[in-house]
Amino acid sequence: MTQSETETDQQLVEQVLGGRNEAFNLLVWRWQRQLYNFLLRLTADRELAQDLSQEALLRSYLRLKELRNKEKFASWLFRIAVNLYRSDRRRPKLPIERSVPLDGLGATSGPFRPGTREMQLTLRSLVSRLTPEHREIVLLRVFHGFQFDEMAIILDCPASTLKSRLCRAFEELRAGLEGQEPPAGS
Amino acid sequence: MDCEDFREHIFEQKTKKLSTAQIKDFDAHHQDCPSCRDALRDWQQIESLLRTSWPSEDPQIPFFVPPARAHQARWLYNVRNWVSAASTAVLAASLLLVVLLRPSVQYNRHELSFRFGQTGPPSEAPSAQPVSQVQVQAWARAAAEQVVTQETARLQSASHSMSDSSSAEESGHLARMRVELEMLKKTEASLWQQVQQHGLYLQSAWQRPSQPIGTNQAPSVSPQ
Repeated sequence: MTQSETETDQQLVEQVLGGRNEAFNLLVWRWQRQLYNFLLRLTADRELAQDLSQEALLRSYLRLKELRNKEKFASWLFRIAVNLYRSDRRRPKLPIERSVPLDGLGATSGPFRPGTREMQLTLRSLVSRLTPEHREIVLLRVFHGFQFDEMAIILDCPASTLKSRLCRAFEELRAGLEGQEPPAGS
Repeated sequence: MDCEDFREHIFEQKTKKLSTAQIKDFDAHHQDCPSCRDALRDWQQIESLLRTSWPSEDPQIPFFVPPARAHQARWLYNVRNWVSAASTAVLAASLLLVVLLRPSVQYNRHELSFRFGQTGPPSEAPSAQPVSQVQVQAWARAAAEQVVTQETARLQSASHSMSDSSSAEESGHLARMRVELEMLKKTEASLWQQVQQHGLYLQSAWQRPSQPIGTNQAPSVSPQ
């Protein structure tokens, strides 16, 4: 394990603020993939996810001095991304700007479990039909493992509200999956 | 613990964020409530299925590279800014001197005289000791020289503070700083020359016996 891998986000942020700009590359290396995949699942649009993740990283770099809790860099970065996504969602879209259906994403890669394929696609489709607020918290929780206090920062919402919201989202998914066969071996 | 509390604690229970008492309540409700037991099982299944069915992708773009900033030491930025501010201050101070001292030129019987601080008739009230033109010139020059001296001292201290490992780029910046300082000195000298030339210009403009501007007196206002 190299030294760069053992350094915390806080240490890297402090290095960048101290003039060692290269340290930001390590933060990018650590978070860019997660950020991109979060936005990809959120928007179902690769190009948009790339644009938003680049913009979020650029803004975080330019505004790094404004970060108060340096150990919360990831939450702060994701918050910037969520705000960018919400701004983009409010922007009126031209008819030609259409999202790629979520069902097709990653269909040929990743583990494939026989007997669950239909359920997997159904589940992803159900996530895409959640309200944006529910989708945000499901993705942050399931795929990125953020805790409620971190999600409260990212989504600018009290943790208690987020707990209720996550419960409702899971109940929606559960209701949508009713009638599906349970996955084999689980 | 009721069903709503139980479901809100499901996600915290997984990350062991619950207290001992909460865990005890959680387990008790789990034993007693088949509906919540099913919910817990289904939610865990959904979470697991989501993770396995939706793999991450690599971004199809090069990694973000932070835009390069000009590699320049912080102190060098400060000195550069200070030099700019100092040159502005010299100009501002010169203008302020002209406004505050209000120089006036009087020509009477082929004799030119400068006066400072009064544009109207001389006051009968006892005033401060009159200031001669030479004194004002000396003050202005001293103020300007002080700025240049301070700037020189600052540059020298900055030069000393440069470590041995300073890059060639920083040395280049320092050299440019020296050039800027020289220019500042020349600007100061030029400015002073202009002030003196301006005085001569006023002198020639007011050498008109038919309309002695300099001898005009402001109308006196008598108190009612």
